[in-house]
Amino acid sequence: MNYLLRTDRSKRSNSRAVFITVILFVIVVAAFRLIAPAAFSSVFEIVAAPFWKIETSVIEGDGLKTRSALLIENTQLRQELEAEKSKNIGIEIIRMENEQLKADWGRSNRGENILATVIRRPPYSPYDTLSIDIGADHLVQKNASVRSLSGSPIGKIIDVYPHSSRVLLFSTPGEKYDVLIGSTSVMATATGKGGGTFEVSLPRDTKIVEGEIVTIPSLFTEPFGIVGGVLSDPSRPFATILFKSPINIQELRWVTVDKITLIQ
Amino acid sequence: MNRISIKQRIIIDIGLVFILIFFPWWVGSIIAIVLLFVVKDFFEILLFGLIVDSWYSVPSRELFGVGQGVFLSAVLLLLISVFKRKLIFYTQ
Repeated sequence: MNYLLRTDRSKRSNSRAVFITVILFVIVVAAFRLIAPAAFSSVFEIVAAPFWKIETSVIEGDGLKTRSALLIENTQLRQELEAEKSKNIGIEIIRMENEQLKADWGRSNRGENILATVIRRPPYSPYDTLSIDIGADHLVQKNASVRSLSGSPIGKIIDVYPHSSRVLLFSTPGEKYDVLIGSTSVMATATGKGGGTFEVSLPRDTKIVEGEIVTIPSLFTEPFGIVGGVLSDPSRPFATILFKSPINIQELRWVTVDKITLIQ
Repeated sequence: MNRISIKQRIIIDIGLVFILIFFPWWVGSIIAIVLLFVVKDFFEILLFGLIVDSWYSVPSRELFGVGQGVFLSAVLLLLISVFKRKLIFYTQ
């Protein structure tokens, strides 16, 4: 009776070839990244960015709308904007007063920023990163702060390419930042948990309730997150406070990039 | 099984690159893992891992000097090639 052999010499040598190829590839990539860390990213980003920009403009933009439809939409949006402006006039007065006070005390406003379109965001990316459509062509700098249109800080630039940039979101798992929580401004260190969520450990007796605002220690009070839950166990001295970014990262279409760099 | 011509292989590779460009990362990953079983010595998965790392990875997520994409694709390629060696299904 004949049986099929499970292994033979040619298969064993083939496995060895696979093993050697894989190890060589990993060594070459590691060496290349050591010598030129951004080399691969620059090349592949240049290849992919045009496709992402086209996709974004077709899916999310107005690339397929007629001129008359765009004009009607534009008029409607202008009207809505005017209505919103009149609603928010009280907030605008307070904001101007705040800026005037800071200017009187020698602390001027934050500075200029640049509008950017998000061309890649989670869940497309496996990590908490965004790709935006401006890069060295718009003088984007590494470590520049990235904000949502409402002004909430959401991340910082980690790589700048000729026509695009990569943003590391603050909520990237393991990333740590100092924050102020609630009306009493309790100082704590927030740890990113991914997808716009964060975690903070504080003594159990600290009075933090759901819905309180989390900010970052800065002259400009900007919402960094909103407390979504407080996990407290009587047998443990610390409570875990969970909060999330006020904006939904997965629906983010535009961001602004500060022209001044983020102070580490 | 595994009788895929060079021409077909190139078409598969180009198709997978476009899937990586236009679809979420996990779609391309699932297809690449399936191709590991279908295509003989699917070394291209290493390149796809490198592409995903180049587009999305963050420096703090590196393993042994390479991104997680390259590391995981290398491990998968090795494990699945060993696994395939043990299967009579792939004898021919």
